[in-house]
Formats: sequence, C-alpha cells, structure tokens
Amino acid sequence: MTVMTMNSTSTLGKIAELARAQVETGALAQPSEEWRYTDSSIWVNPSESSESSEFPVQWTGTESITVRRASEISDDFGDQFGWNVTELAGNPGAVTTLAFANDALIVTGHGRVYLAVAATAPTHIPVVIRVAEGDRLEVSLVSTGAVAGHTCISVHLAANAECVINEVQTNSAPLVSSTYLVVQASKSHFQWAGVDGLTGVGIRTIRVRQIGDEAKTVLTALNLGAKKSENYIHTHVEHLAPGGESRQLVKSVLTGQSVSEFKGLVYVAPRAQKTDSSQSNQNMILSEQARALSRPQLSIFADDVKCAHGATMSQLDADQIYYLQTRGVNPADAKAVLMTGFADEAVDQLSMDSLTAIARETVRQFFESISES
Amino acid sequence: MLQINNLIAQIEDQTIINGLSLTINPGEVHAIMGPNGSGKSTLSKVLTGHPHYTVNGGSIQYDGQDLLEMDPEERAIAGIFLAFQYPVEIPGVNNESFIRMAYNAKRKARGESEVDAFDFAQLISEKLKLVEMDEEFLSRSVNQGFSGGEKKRNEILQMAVLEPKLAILDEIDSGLDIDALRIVAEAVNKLRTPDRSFAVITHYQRLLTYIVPDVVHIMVEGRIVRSGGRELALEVEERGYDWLTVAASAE
Repeated sequence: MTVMTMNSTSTLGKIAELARAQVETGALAQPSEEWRYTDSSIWVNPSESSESSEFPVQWTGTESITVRRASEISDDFGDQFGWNVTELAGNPGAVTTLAFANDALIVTGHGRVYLAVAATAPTHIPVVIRVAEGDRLEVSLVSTGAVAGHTCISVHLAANAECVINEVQTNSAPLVSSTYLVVQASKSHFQWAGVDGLTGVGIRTIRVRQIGDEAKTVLTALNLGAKKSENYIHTHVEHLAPGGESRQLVKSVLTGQSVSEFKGLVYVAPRAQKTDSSQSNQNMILSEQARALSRPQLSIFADDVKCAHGATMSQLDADQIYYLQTRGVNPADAKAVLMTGFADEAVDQLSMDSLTAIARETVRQFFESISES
Repeated sequence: MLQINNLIAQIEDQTIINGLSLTINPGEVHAIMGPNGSGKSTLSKVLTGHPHYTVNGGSIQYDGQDLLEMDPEERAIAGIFLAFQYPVEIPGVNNESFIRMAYNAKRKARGESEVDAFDFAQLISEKLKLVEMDEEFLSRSVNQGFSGGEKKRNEILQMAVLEPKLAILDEIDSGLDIDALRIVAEAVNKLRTPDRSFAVITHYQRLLTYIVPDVVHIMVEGRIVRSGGRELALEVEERGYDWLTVAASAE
C-alpha cells in the first residue's frame, strides 16, 4: 500500500477544525430537503484537496450486504449516488484500499456489516447507508488507526426500515470524529450505540430527522474519560411528523483531567403531535479535575407531547455501596460492581457480540487502571 | 444473640439514639414501634454499620462479638440482614447476579465453593415462589423501576436466599397495599425458625396481626420507653404515642 507524502499536521488541523466547527456552530442549523440524503457541505471538498492517501477498510458481512466503493464524488451528491460506483471486494472479509479524498463507501442490503477502518494517515471517510423498505441493516464501526480520522455517515431509512449502528472507538488517535446524518421515513427505527474509550479527542455529532410518522430513534453513548481525553457528544433530533419517539442516554465516567460534553437538542415541529422523547445525561466524576458539561435542550412547537430531559453529576453513590455491603459484599468489590453496572447499561445496547466483547474489555481495563491509580 | 446496652448514636451533630438498651434472644420476634423521628430507622442503620452514623456511647454484642468493631459486610456475613425501608436502586446491575454475589460472599467467607449461575438459578426459583414474584424480576436491574411492593418483595427474596440469623425489617409494610402486605408477611412467617430472630420496625399495629411478635417495644426520643406483649401494640393503636411521649419527657 502506498501512502503518499502529505502534511499531516495541516490535514489533522483541517479535520479537527471542521469537526469542531460542526459541533460548535451546528453547521446544519437549517437543513434543507436535500439533506434527506446528505449535505455535502460538511464534507471536505475533494476538489480542493491536493492531498491524498490510501487506507485499508476491512469489511465483513452477510451475503445480502453490498458494500460498494464510489470514486469521483461529484458535487451533486444528492443525485441518487450517480457516481462511478463499483462493487467493493465482492467477498466478505476482503481488505480493500480506499483513497483519501475521492472515495466513499455505500452500504445497502440487509443483514450485518462490520467495518474496520485502519487509517495510517489522517482520513476522512464518507459512508452512505441506505436501508430499503422493511429491511434491517446492522453496521459496526471501529477505527483501528492511530491517526486522526473523521467519518461522515449518512443514513437513509425507508418506511419500516431498521438500522442499528454500533461504534466502538478505543484507539490512541489524537482525534476521532464521526458525524451522522440520519433521515427516517415512517415507522422506521434507528438505533445508535457508541462507546468512546479514546485517549485523545472524540467527537460524535448525530443529527436525526424523523420525516415520517411514528419513527423511533434510540441513541446510547458511553464515554470513558481519563487523563486529558476529551469527549463531545452533540445530538440534534428533529421530530417533524406525528407519533415519533426518541430516547437518548449519554453516560460518562471521568477521571484525571478528562472533559466530557453532552449537548443535545430535541426539536418538535408544530405538526409532530404525540411525540415522546427523553434525554438523559449521567456523569460519574471520579477525580477532582475531571469536568462534565451537560446541555440538554428542548425546542417544542407542538402542544400534545411528552419530552423529558435530565442530567446528573455524581460520584459513586454511598448508599449503593452501603446497600451492597449490607449484603456481604466488600467495598472494593461493591465499587467495581457499581462502575461496571453504570457502564453496562450503555454497553448492553451494543447489538454485535464481537463489539460488545471489545467494549467490555475496554471498560474492564479502564476500571482496572482507575483502581490502580 | 443481640445485646444492646445504653447505646448513644448520632448523625452529624444530632443525637438520635440516646441510651437505648435491647436484648433479642434466638428465635424471638421483637416489634419496635414509635412515632416519626424516634430513632427506629437509625437503630437499623447503626446495627448494620451505615457510615453516616457515629456511635459515641454504649455497646452492642452480637453472637458474643463486639458488633461495633465489625464492617457492614462482616456483619452481613455474620448473619445480620436489613430489609430496607427504601431499597436502593442499582441501574445496570442484574438482580439475579446481585443476589448470587451476596450469596457467594457468604459462602466464600465460610470457606465454601461459590455457586455458579446455573445452580443458583435453581435455588432462587424456589425462593421466588415464596414471595410470589415472577422470574422476570431476576433479569431486571436491582430494584430499578420496581413498584414499592416489588421492592419490598425483593428484599424478602434476598432474605430467603441469605438465611440470616437476625433479620431487621425496617417498615416492610410501608407503601404496600393489603395484598402485597399479606404476601410479604406470609413470606416472613415462613422464614421464621426456632433460631432466627427478627426485629420488626413498624408504625402500624396492622403488620403485627400478620407477623405476631413475642415482644413489643415503644421507642421515643432515641430509647425504649416501654416494652410489653402483643397487647402493647393494640394499646398504642388506640391511644397513640402521646401518653408515652409525655411519660418519657417527664422522666
């Protein structure tokens, strides 16, 4: 594999700047209908980029999944993927090399697909996931490289379609960012579960638009912050049609000087009556200098809705430790059980065993490092 | 089995238990009644070693040991069980795993091998019948989303599994409707043995028509002001606590 020389600092800077700009300004504050499919404005414009690199993407999936590679991304991205699309290594398990700045992955079909992105140079990966009516597609995403990367995932769910995305990020890259743009037709179901055990900066930006009736969205995140790691989760869920449901649970365990921020906006349009939404942000702060910022927000323009939101900041609960002790469990074991339990509520949302195993191992090592320090 | 002598205990700067003495022999059921704030729940916390309470007078002997020298988990392993007035919710921790952990902690302390998930499932399904609980309770997080009655039944389930020598039931009747009260009380009665002792803390005489005590104590202002048989509870129901409160402050 050839890695072309490039100024990695500037690329890293660019990705970081881009990702930060997105999360800070909410680059898609006024999404237009075109955004049903994607908004190319948040992507690095390939034509302006003179840098290029290659990186392997390993994917495995069931036979009914198609992963294609789209080169020559045109500016007219919304044009039903009218690119030069080729099948991506027809046999599951194959390693395919994609070139930075002029490639995208398109995932369609039903079943399960596992994408492992092993970046060796700062990368920006567009992924398009389309789930047809009544289909169910499960995507697991892991970054294994040690350099900055940004994945932009556009998900389009047709009526009654279901998409489950598991994202476990545990590497030592300075920045791992992912942006999701999700559009849901009626009665579709989108579920995202993410575990962030990154040692650098992790940014997840998730924008969901429920354009059809009775769509359901479930977002669950677990952040494990240590030393000087930073984690940002910014969500924007728009209920644009009646009867929608959304559940957000964001949990952080923070030590050292780590920082975690949750900013979540739930928007309920005037016609989105009977919306049922909840946002919960729970932070377990285990050191003096760790910080958690929590900004759940509601913007409601319908009158018959149920919207709950809440945030908690806590250390280990003394009453829970005492309760376990009165059952014969010593304090060290009690603390381990409580921390694991706190994490498990989120880890249990991961739907793929191999990823759950990685996440559990990450959680275990994290708590082990805490008890040693 | 349990001898409390002239106990004085406080939380922060406030003395709650003020010269309490109480002896419970093996197999006896003692009811402890009293108005709000008389220190009943504090007594249960002090007996189980809650870290927020400090003891600055008196002694507690349990099975020949100095109870106050023991950590909460050591007391549990030595056979003391507290059914909480407000059972604590532990999100993310599976109820069955939690009870198995408690069960194994006791076994480990006795030098016995730990019971695996499979054998424990058999053991606990027997105990579930006692409290008329559904298997589904086992797969949920500890007490999370349980109704008041379900939480109390879960406490009794733990008691049935852990088989304590001394069970302290702190207002096990609060928040229960009449059917749940009957189920809980009947379960407790089935767990009565010639050796197992109970301290039943309650506001209401009603519970004592189900769980019939050997001795009734009335607690006022941090100590026991009167002890008697079952009829004392009936008298309190009729006359309230005022006459005892007056008597206590007159002393």
